[in-house]
Amino acid sequence: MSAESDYVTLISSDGYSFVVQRSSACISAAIRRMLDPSLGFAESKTNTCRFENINGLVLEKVCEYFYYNEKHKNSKDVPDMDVPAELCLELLMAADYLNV
Amino acid sequence: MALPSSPPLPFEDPPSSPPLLPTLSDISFTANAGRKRLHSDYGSLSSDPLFSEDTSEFAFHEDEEQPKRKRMVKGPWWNMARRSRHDLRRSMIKKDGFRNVDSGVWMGSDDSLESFGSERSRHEHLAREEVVKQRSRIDATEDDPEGFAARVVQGCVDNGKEMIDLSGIGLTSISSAALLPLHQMIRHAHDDLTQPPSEDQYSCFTPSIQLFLYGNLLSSLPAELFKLRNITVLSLRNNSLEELPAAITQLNRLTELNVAGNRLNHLPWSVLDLLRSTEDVCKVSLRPNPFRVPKVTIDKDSSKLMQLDEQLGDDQHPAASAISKSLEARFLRGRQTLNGGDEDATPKKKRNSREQLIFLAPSRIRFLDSEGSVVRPSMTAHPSGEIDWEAPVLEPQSPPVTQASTTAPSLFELVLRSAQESYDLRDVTALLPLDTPSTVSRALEQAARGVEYGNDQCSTCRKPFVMPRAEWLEYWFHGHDYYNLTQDAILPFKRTACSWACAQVTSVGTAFC
Ligand SMILES: [Zn+2]
Repeated sequence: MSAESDYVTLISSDGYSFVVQRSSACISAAIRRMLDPSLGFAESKTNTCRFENINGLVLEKVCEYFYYNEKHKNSKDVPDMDVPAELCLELLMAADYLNV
Repeated sequence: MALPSSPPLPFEDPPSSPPLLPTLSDISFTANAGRKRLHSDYGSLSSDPLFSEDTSEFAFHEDEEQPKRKRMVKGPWWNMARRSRHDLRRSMIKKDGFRNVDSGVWMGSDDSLESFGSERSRHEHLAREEVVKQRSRIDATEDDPEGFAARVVQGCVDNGKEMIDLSGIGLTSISSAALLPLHQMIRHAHDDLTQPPSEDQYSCFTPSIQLFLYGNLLSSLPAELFKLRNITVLSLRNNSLEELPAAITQLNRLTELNVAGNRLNHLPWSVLDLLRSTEDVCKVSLRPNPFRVPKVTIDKDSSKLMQLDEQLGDDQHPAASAISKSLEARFLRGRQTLNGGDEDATPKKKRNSREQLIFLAPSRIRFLDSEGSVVRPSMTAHPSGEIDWEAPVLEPQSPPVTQASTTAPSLFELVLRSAQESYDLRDVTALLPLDTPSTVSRALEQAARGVEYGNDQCSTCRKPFVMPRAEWLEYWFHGHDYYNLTQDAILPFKRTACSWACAQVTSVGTAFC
């Protein structure tokens, strides 16, 4: 598998996988590091990141955020993305871990 | 001396004779003569610290010497219940012995007072009630200034008294609850209570609250204060405030604000609006405070600082003198702009008696990541790792290169905003799992503060946010048009921004009056 694909796969702790644009996922410093070929992590070869601490519901929301961020890259008056209350704490932990 | 009906006294074995107690023969316990006698006896007891001098100044000192005794007999009766509750809490925390919380009398643990305690306290309790009436206000408050403040507030509300004097009573904090009754304050202008007030009568009900909190030890202000929109005069002079909440400008009826003599090293950006508001002129007293001043680091190793108004000396370092000259030039340009508009229009001339505000320079911008840590572009890294708040930056500043959007809020921020709407965040940090990262718990605390005081506003686009993404100081000249540019005429305002895109410093040449 080539090292630099345009898409990467993110896999949640409960086995859900999400295919997202590499460029939008790389706003996360943690994902960027995992995929950096020069650091030699396995993820950079398979273009796949597994998150043992993030479940499918939360990771789905994270992926939604990647697209939200991409879409509003340079726009003014950005509307807030909807965040379900019941996911707050888990999402906060995930956002902290991924640095997004 | 005979003691006719005296109770059996533990004369035989006073374990360690308490130095402050009078000899037993001096005290009469007879029912009729007792009280009067007791009183005069107390007057003669020069060694007794309780009534022999103004205790207010020496309260702490005495507490050290006689903590238990002091607690037992000090203060008016209406403080007793409250103090007992404090005691209860304290003893529950300390688990250091049993105390009878109802009487305030010490039980068991103190040999020197045990045998005398209950009898004496009963008499002293009676004596106290009389003495307390003559005591000065500060005496009455020294044990529980906040409780006293709450009663003063309630008293003023009950009497429709708009001037609330809580000055110099040793307040270290004041709760929102203590100020809450002020929302009920109405001006007594409408006497006929059988008829509803007419429109203009109604406006007479709106009070103009003057709240004097000067001369206390306040280091923070309760959120409720900023919701009391009918405050017109607020004196916080001579307290220990290190930060003035931006919410201060929510008090939009203020005609006088005094924050002199605190520990402020900068002002919130919103105060600039207060200073330049053209309609209702609010008299604002800001100095003295330990405000930051623009300085130039000349020798990085010894971090020797040179202040900019030590200028025009021949021995001045070239770097410092260059910056001094630039600031001076910006100042003169701003003044020229203000005075230039003055020549052709007379109304403006009148306004010129007001103080001028001229933008001088910003500090370096601190760009923050979503969790509030400084993102330091390597080239501006200061040897100490800190960004110097006091060094004025004359060249334009741009954010570090990033792949993330510089306008959209972070996911972290979005979740915090949602949490503010969905949860009661007041005690949330206590409920968090133990392995919660400190960045998360800190952010949730910040979100909880935002709910209480209102979220900070972006100083560029005015959108509210929980976590700032950039912050910097701006130095502005503030003074009359005959003032020169000296340290004393420069104010530091702290700006925050919701996004890196909003981290835009004021443009050079901006000036108001
Ligand atoms: Zn903004």
